[in-house]
Amino acid sequence: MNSLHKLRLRFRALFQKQKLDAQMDDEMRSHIEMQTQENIDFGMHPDEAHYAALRQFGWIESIKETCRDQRGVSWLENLGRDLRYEVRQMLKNPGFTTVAVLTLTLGVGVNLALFAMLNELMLRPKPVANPDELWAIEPATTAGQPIGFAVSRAYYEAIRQRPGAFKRVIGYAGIMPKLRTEEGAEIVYAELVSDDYFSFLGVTPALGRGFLLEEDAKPGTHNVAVISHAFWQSQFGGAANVIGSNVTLNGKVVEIVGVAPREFAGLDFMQPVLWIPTSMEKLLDPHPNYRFVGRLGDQAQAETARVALAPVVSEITSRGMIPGYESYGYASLFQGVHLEPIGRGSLGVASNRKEILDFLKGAGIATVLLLLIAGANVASLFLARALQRRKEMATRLALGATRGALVRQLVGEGILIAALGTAGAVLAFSWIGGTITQFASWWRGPALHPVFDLRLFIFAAVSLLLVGIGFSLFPALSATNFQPFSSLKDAEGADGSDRKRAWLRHTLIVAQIVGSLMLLCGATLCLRSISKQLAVDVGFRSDRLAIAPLNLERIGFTTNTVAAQLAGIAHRISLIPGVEQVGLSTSEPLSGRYSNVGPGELEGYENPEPGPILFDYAEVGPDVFAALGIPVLRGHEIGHTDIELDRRIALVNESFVNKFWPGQEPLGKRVQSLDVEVVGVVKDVRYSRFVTAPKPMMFTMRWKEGLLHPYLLIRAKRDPRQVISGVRAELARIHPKLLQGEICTLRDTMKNALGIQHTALRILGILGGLALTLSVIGTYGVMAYLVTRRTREIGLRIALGATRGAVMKLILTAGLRLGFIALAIGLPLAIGAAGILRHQLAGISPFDPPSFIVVASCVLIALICACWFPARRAAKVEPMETLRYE
Amino acid sequence: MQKEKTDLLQGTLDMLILKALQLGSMHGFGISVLIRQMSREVLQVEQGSLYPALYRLEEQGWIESEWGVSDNNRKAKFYKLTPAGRKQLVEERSNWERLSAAINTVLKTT
Repeated sequence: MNSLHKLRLRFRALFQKQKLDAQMDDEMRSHIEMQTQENIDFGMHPDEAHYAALRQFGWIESIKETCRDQRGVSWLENLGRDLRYEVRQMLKNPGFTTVAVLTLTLGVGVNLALFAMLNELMLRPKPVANPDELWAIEPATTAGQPIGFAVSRAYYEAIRQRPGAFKRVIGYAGIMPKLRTEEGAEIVYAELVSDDYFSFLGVTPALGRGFLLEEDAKPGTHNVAVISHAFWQSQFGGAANVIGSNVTLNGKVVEIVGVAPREFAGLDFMQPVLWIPTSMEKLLDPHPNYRFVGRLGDQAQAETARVALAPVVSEITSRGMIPGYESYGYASLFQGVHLEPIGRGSLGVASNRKEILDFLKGAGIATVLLLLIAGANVASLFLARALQRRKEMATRLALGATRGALVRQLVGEGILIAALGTAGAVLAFSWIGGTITQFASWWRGPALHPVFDLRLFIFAAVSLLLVGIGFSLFPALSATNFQPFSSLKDAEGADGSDRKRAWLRHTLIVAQIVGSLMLLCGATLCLRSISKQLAVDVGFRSDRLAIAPLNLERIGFTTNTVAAQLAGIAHRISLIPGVEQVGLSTSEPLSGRYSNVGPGELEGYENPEPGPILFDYAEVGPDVFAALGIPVLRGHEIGHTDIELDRRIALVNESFVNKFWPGQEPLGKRVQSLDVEVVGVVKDVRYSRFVTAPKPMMFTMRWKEGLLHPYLLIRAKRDPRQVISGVRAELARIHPKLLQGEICTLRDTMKNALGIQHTALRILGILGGLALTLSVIGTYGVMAYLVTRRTREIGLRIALGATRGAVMKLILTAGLRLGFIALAIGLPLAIGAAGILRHQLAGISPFDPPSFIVVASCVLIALICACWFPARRAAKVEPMETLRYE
Repeated sequence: MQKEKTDLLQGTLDMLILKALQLGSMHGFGISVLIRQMSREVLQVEQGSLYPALYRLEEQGWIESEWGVSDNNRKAKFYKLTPAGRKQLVEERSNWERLSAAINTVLKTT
């Protein structure tokens, strides 16, 4: 009760300060009046009585102050007073405040954006019931090493029947059926799921229902689907009567029975448009690859569950229930399982999980480095300003302020600036996040829309406090460490603690240069690696080509009509001025995506080793080699007539002939399992991948479906960018929806193929550039300060006969000394950090000397520039003026 | 009269205020007059100590205040003891008696 009473009083004291003060006034006035009255009663004159009363009372303001202290909220009031003082200080110095806040906005912003990405991908609980209980069950080796393959339904049925420690296991498989639209058909991503998928996950459909038990039991009897919220909005305009409507998938009519809630978009990285019971597997996709998810109470059960499942899967494997893999001798790999928690983030068990994690790790180091540099930069600004205010602080110390109070105020100012910077970062959050994801051109997953949730808030708050205290505490301690009286006497202060402050200032500068050096070295390594790889001779003129992705299916074409149409389209495009040759391919050249096949046998070749005969393989299209400029050495390439006549033909490259058919006639050879006949031989070039040397490769045109989604390859007479707009306009005249996506040059494709490396280059490059700018500004500031401090000394030197050149040298040397110290520390660190990039770099070693030399000299040049202007100013010092100064 | 003024021991002022308020609710001026009278003009309470002490006691919850009208029709703030204050007074008083008895014993030792 007593503490409640105190709390009430404190609240009153805090929020009704003015009222309380007025009451205190009244109370004391009434006391004085009473005293006056008493004095009059004793026989004094009224005026004199009043003054006597005042005298008797004492110094009223001081008493009031003591009384206020009794209220027990003074620390809160002090905080408020400090805050007001700090805000005033900041407003008085708008330039400093703006620079510091913007620098921190940048530093905190990139970290926040990266953390938001991490949060989306790995931390945010999935919108399902008890997400932390969810574990993905992946086929693995006996040792539990996941092998990255998904498996067939038979495997899934077997695990579902004997789930071991799991109470239940659900399965799902991503498929790509064709959805009929008004004009044609579109390939969509959908998932075949077990009947209990939604109930197992605890996801309640926003509309309608999930699946029923019988809908999964009898194949083909229940053609039903639950659609995603996004699909409901885009395709049905969010109509409430969507339940019972139909969609047509691969020509089968499917009834919509439910709409998933908005926040639920599947368990994996890919976001399905709709979910269908596994019973429809046969109708939609003959070989779906299943993934499984089960629930476990806690982490401890995982190992037990894993061990318990091993004999089950081993038995499945021995019964040959992994169709498609056994022929390659892979079956031995499927002997165990690997369990992976997937309840958090949207990454799921994405196949490029490791790649993405590596990217996040590297980017995280870079952004933290930038934050440290930004912090060091603001710290040196802060130190300089605290020193400027030394006179003011000396006065306050002399008047009885404690050093603690001064430090508290300075650190408070730091936190305030950090808070503003963080607020800026939060405001710019969506913009920065969007920019980062845009950088990742290799990103094939759905766009990330980071949500500002509690985790992000905590991250922002913690970084705010750390940064705010971090960059202001040392400058505050250092700046307040002096004798007030010596400072009052002499503004420039010459006491011994100055040496320590110089040390702090220099450390801050060196730290910034070291950080920027590391970032820039990383960027340069990526740049060199990329240019090395792009400079490779792929074997044909890759710089003349533009690529246009087409979609004929969605505008109503079928495999029966596509061949003639494509010939017509290719012809019309070839008539555009500036276009030299036009070809078509169902695969994108040099995109880095490749496939290989292993037919059981090859005519005229005896495989010396057991196992499949493996070679690279690409589906192409009519006139592809003519368009790319790859010479056909023998025979002929695939033409439009071959497509129309449905000929099953193939071309091989020189390496192929040399490896499999040396000294034999390749033309007319048949490949039984692929059902093709070889009709030509082309020169060795890098076709799918450009980072590896040409390998034995076969080009075929067997898959007519692919021609509904071909790439139009346009070779220009000169720069391909000049014909892009003409091609786009012509395609739009043929049909406005013919072009699907953007027309880009082959060089762009190649850059995208370098994916993460390219993103790393951009991120490191931009962050490194920013970091260097910050450190140049920081160095400039420190040097300028140095010159101001030493003006008298310099004037004296000049007066005594030092040349201007010698004075400039003096200042430049001081700057360069810092630069060399930074290089001595930074280069080994940068070389160490380059090890992180090891897997991303190709063509050069991570310890590539030219990169480090170039960066080191750039940094030094930037430093000389930063010192140049202060040095010039020093050289212009007029000795007479400085000696008269003060 | 000035010469006879005795400085109050730290903490004893609180006790005196509580004692004065035991007689009924009173304003600040009244308390100072009362203490002076009760001590037969020996103890003169400085306003600089009185008011902070009053605010401190209120903060502790031993006294509470309300606005009222004084004898000669002036608006004044009246303080009165709370039950906790009464208990506190008893406690401080016994402490004081123990302490002064001890001091007396020391002083009487020859």
